[in-house]
Amino acid sequence: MTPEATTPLSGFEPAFRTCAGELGVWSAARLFVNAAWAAGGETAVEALHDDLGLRYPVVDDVARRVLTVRAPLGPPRVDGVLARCEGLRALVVVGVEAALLGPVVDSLPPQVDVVALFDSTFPVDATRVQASWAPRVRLADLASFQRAAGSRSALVTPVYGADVFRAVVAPIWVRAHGPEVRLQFRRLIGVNLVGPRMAAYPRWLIDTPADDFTDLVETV
Amino acid sequence: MTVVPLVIFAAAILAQARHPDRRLPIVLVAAGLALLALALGGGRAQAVLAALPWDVLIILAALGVVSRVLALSHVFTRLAVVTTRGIGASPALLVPVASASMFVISGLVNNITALVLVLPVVITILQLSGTTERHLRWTIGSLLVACNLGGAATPIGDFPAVLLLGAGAMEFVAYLRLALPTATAGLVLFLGIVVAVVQPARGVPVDVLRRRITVAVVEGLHDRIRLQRRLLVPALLALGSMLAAWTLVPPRVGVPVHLIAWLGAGLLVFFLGSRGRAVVMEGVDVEATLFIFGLLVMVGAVRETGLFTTLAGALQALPLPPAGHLALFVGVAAVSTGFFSAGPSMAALLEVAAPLVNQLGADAVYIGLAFGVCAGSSLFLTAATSGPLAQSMVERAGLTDVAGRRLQFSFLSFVPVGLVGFAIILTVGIGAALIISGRVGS
Repeated sequence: MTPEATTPLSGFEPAFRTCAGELGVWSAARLFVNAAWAAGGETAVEALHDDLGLRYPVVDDVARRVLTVRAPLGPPRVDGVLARCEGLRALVVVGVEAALLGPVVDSLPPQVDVVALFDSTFPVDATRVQASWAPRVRLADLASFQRAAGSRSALVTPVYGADVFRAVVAPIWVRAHGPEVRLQFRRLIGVNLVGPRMAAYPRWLIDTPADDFTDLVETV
Repeated sequence: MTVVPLVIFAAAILAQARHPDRRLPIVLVAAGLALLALALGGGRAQAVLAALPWDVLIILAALGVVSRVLALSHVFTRLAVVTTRGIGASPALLVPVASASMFVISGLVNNITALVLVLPVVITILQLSGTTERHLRWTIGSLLVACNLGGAATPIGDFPAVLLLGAGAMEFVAYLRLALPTATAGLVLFLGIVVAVVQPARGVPVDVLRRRITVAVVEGLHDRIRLQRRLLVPALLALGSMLAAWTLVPPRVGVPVHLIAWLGAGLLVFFLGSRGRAVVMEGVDVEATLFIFGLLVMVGAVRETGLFTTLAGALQALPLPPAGHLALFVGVAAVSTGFFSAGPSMAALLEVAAPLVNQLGADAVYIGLAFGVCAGSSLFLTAATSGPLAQSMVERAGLTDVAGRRLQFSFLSFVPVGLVGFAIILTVGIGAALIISGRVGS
């Protein structure tokens, strides 16, 4: 029997991409970094950061925050999002972050129709995603999400850092958001999971004008 | 009597083995042509359709519905997550524990459903906990062998056993009493050799940190997949009632096996209310059902030519003791399944088996046949549908070793696992058949 040891953490990328596809890149980063913190503290987080941080700026950001506060990263505050969802009949989530969608869905009244569009940057296991969210959340695509439009409907998307002018979003937002969509929904809500813009270039993500959104909610 | 149906049957079997992606149209067209040839040759084409074992198709459809509801209840996914936590994502324990779990699950639901439920969790563990070419090969390969063994262990686990049950060749209790210990012995022997001799986890870094992260990530990835008790309870009640009826209702009462399956699945769908229709649509594997229908039609047409009786006669005429006939028959079943897959082999060899039953006893011949087919299903990656499915799922996952090198699970990767599995299952199957026939000494 080989004695148990700690080898440099590496080779996590395929698993991270799977998680990022199904949970969202920020939720996956939080899951990995918090697991590393719980398993091996600062050393493990640094090792994970070395493995994934360069290629995934969100991992870099989350790892830095965990190392700064020396504690696992908590879930995002969703009270601001819920306040903006009051009176809605439908909520369309563009680009899923499980850490955000889960608490929001669990808090919304059951009569609110929740529709989700998954970003296709990373692979998505449709069976597992369906098992995780259906039937409370209806999965949709770019061709069909506008059926949920209306005066009591809103679009919501995760934001990975923003300043006064620009916000970093998942590519699916740019494909879903257009001049006609803006008129079809009561609110376009950006939920900032990261805070100020990340120091690293937002690889896998995309820049968009901050005024895409009628509401930009901070969760940090 | 014309031999054209036989030529069509042989051509179709070869063609579907060569082009598995087109097996359904090949078999359906060939079945139609075989019937046409029989009719034009003066044969009784209508009698072939009348003699089809429709009960087999009913059992397959009913079990498909129950399997689908069990899958939708997420019970197996939750068990997989709990098991991952239990073994602490240990690469060394992954092979025996995942294989044993697969054995149990595939004894209750069909092999494809079992694989689709268990493999994603195993792949995630392999992605995270670290693996090597050798570890990957034996982990996935052992899962496939265990899947085949589980399917043969119970009368409802896979098509060959269902065919025996539906065709009235064996009764439920008799099959379970003989096949379950045989399959369990095969699994124990196989896993014993894999764990003790092959040692698949040799060379995989044993890293406590990596294992803890793996458990946390597997739990996080499945966090929102919750047990659906409203589906699980009716599915277990339906399955339990069907098992109880198959076990306890004596044959003299006259309630056929397929009727119990029909009523069990029917009541389950009824109690699911509005979801029932979707479950039937998703649960009944139309491709598999039509494929087996086509095979049975072709076999029926060939039966009219008298070929199977001739083959059985030729086998019995060989200068061998009865034990030799039995062993040879099981061996032929295994090899033909390895090349032509389980469906065609089982459907055709069941016809050849019938005359041997008088000489060797039904239980010995049919249990031998079931395990011969099971051994053949494990020989090559392409011998059973579950093999290519596992291959594509592993390919999609893009697995790498801890150094970041891309790992493959291919036809050739499976060959050593297949050979070990084939040899063990065939040996156990022949041994069981000889013991049952009381001809161990001969």
